[in-house]
Amino acid sequence: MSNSLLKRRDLLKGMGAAGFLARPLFRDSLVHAAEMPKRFLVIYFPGGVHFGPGGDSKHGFFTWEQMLASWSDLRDDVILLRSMPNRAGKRIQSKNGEPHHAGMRTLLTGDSSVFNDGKAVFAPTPSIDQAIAAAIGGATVHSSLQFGVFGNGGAQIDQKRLCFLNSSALPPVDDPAVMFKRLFPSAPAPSLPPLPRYSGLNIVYGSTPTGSSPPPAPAPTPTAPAAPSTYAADRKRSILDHLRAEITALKTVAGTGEQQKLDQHMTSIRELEKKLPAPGMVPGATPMPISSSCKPPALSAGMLDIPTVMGLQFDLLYQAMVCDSTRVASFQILHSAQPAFQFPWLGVPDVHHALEHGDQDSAAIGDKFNKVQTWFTDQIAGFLRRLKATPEGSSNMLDNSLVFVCTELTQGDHHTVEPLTGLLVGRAGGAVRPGRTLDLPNVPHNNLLLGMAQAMGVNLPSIGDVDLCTSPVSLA
Amino acid sequence: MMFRSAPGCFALVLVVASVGCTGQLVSDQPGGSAPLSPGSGGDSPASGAPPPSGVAPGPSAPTATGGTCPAAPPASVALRRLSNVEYDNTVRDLLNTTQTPGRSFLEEDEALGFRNIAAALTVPPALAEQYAEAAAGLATEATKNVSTLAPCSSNASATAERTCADTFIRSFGRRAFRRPLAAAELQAYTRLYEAERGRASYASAVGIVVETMLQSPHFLYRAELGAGTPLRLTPHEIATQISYMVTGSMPDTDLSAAADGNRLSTPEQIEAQVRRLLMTPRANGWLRGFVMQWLGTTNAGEVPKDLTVYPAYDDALRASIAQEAVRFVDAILAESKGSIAELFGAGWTYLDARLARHYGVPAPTGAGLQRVTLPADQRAGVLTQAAFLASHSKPNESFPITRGKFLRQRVLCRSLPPPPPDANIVAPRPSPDMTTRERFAQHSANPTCAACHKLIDPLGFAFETYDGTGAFRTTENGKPVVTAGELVDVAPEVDGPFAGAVPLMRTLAPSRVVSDCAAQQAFRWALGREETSAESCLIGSLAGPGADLREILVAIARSDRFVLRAR
Repeated sequence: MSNSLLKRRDLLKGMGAAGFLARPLFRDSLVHAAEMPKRFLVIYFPGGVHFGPGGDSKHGFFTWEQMLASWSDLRDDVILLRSMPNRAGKRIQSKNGEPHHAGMRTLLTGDSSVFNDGKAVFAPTPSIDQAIAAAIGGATVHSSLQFGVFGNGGAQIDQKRLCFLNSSALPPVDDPAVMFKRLFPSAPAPSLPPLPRYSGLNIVYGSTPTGSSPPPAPAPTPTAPAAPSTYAADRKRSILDHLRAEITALKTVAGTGEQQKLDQHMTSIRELEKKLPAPGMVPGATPMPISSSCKPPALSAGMLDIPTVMGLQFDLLYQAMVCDSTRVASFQILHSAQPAFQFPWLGVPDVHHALEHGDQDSAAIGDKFNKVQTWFTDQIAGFLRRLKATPEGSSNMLDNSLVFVCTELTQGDHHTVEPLTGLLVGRAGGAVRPGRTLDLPNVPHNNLLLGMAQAMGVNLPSIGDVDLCTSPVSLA
Repeated sequence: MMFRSAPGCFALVLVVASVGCTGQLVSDQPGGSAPLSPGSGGDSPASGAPPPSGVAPGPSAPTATGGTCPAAPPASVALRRLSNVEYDNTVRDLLNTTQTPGRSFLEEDEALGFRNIAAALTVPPALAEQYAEAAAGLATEATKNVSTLAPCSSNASATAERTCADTFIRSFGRRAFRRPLAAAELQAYTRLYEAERGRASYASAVGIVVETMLQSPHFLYRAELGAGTPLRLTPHEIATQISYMVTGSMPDTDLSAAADGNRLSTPEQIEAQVRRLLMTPRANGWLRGFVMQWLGTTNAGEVPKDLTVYPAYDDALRASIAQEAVRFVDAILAESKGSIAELFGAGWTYLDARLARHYGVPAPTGAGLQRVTLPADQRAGVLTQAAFLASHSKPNESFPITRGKFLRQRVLCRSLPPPPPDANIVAPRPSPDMTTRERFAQHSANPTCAACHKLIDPLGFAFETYDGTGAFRTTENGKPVVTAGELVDVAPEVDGPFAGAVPLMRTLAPSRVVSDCAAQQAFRWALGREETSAESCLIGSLAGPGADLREILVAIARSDRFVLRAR
């Protein structure tokens, strides 16, 4: 057993499930104080930008540069990506002509296979965040987390999913209360109103649309923990062991198509196991202080609209990073065909999908679209500033991260997926050199994805369509 | 790269909840009965998939309507994860609980317009956590009355208690897994029970069985794995499929007994169970969910509109619109057995005073929703109701392209080719002195656009007498609304000129095209997958003239598609 492992186990013995921080409270950085964890984040917003009648980012009345006007303090932390082809997206468009299916689907995968006919699911390639999580996610309680701001509802699976694993889509968690519970399972639940969902729940349930929802389920109480020390963990472990055996046995009789489904299920069971303390370990009474700022955020809200949910979810993502609950996360704002939510605080009564489709050269549409998109990027900037303001080691949390700020379309109203534009923010602990523009007009974006993984210390032979992978884009 | 090529043709790309455009233009239909060839040919990879190697197609199958279709290869074995509402229905029936944890589960992914498509439903980590939490909560509640759940004398000996537990594991397992437990499973659950009993109470040991079974893949997935040669669903799998298709929950006592007694081996036995369950109130609510998912109206009570354009569209109106949609479909299912012709052609609906004002018809007497006869020249059937019209338009305009595309794909089941690669898809700007139809005139003026848009736009323009909230109108921006058009490349029985939405619906409602499309949609929903091209003939035989949804479901259940699988 290596020295570092021994140390880690010693550490683990000292912490455990006491208090509200019921998660393994270690991180490698405590063992290797000099090494700060690297984190990989994807922040998505829908609909691209509006370049105006000139047709490229240098002309026209609204560009990435203009949208980022308020980012001047972050200029040296950013790589502006321009002119990069999304060939996989283009392939899907030529297959079925539906750009909504092409953009999000390919953004993190570079994979042109499509969900079709209700059975040919996605190709086995994981999205880049999941490929990175497979390599570095073992160190944290959650291999990865998918945050959403109304990222569900109102569209088909292939129009709204960003992250994939085992040929399955990983939907984002939109409800801050649910995410809070995942991150801080033993903390008192925040008191938040129910999340509005655009999913026709009452009608799908067969009840009348005006009928009120039944009262929420009573909070589960642990079953008679006679010996509080290891009882609860042992009990959970018994259940998970049993489930693993069942899934393994079922896999031998399920068809090939269903085996990936069971692989995904097994992955999820393993994630649950990671939340338990190591076998035989007695949870101690003293939580290990990871960082004085690692604590459940105080969440409160009168109503859950887009600004509120975005604020709460960014708070939770920030805490997940501070507490080292995960090192890989995606943050999905709406999705590529969101028909349900308006923007009253910006004076925009349109829904996002309609803004995407409107003639953005007309001031009536263009101004509103730009207002919304700029609001998105301003919120993202606010979150990035928070990371930058959080000291970590000899630098800060943003320096130790790589953040891919992306959108699935080039220009919203044209529904083009090429060129792919976006931002890379942070230095991935020194592996990335920001403060520049990257123009790669002939390099399929699969190679950018590979370059991101490389910057995270993860070398992948390919991602998505293999023939599109030539050589990882160096971000150094 | 991004120049704006005028003139533009906007549209094929938009629709909010579109099904995948398969790239095959269906035209030149050979006969009156629709051939239903979604996605055949072209580069649609999964349609018409060849049979798995080694599986020989069986003999020709008699169809529900007496004809004969060539045998089609069976679909692969499947595990169908319970949708969230199916989960809630199932725990309600299994545990007699009022908890509905599924309402806060990670939302199911929709595919083909439905929430129960097998390929789209998996168990990601966030959902596994929610399953675990829900199972713990349900087990805790259930074991509060352990004497009811797993009766045992309070002073039972260790051996006697073990017998109680054994009985419980068998009986609860039979219901949770919708089949008897295999010997090895019984042993494994017994070990789980005993390990827990060694460290905690009887109730807690019973509880761990419940908590585990509620997270078991045998509970969370409806297995369609089959047995024998040719591979055929087991009686318990058939019972499960019947029950979830008709009621959205686990089999009831009668159906379970039929499975235990191996009385589900013939189409007649299956049909009898389907018919019995179709008569239950639970079936009505469940089938309503199918109809409204199919027509894209499940969000009717939540569709947002621009109040500066539609100031009358307040919360009360939205609620009334949703109630009309529900009440109408319920009535179709209850009184007309789900008649397709009535669904799309009815001259009546349910309105309250608020909605009557919106529709411009006299308010009914009596409070709440009342059945009213509609002006015969203004509305006919579900597609002329506000729920459909408001759901399939933009917040500030009617948007005929969305409506037309939806109708063509989901009500007529005709596929559309993708737009040309460099089509300008930018929507025309709103204009204060033009009608919506005039703004989209480019679609017919430009031959490149017209090739496809002649398949879409006329269908949408027919509904221009209804604004974005479903209010009736004869003028727009001071100019008359023109609704006449021509239906092309659908089927000879319906192709031709029409004057507007009402006459169009009177033609379509009783047509074979629409009833066959209803059958295709019901097939997808019932079996949780898209049909293959080899199954087109069978689907074309499911609905006869005067078709109704119940008979379509019976025909699906009687077909070999329901019971045969391939590995």
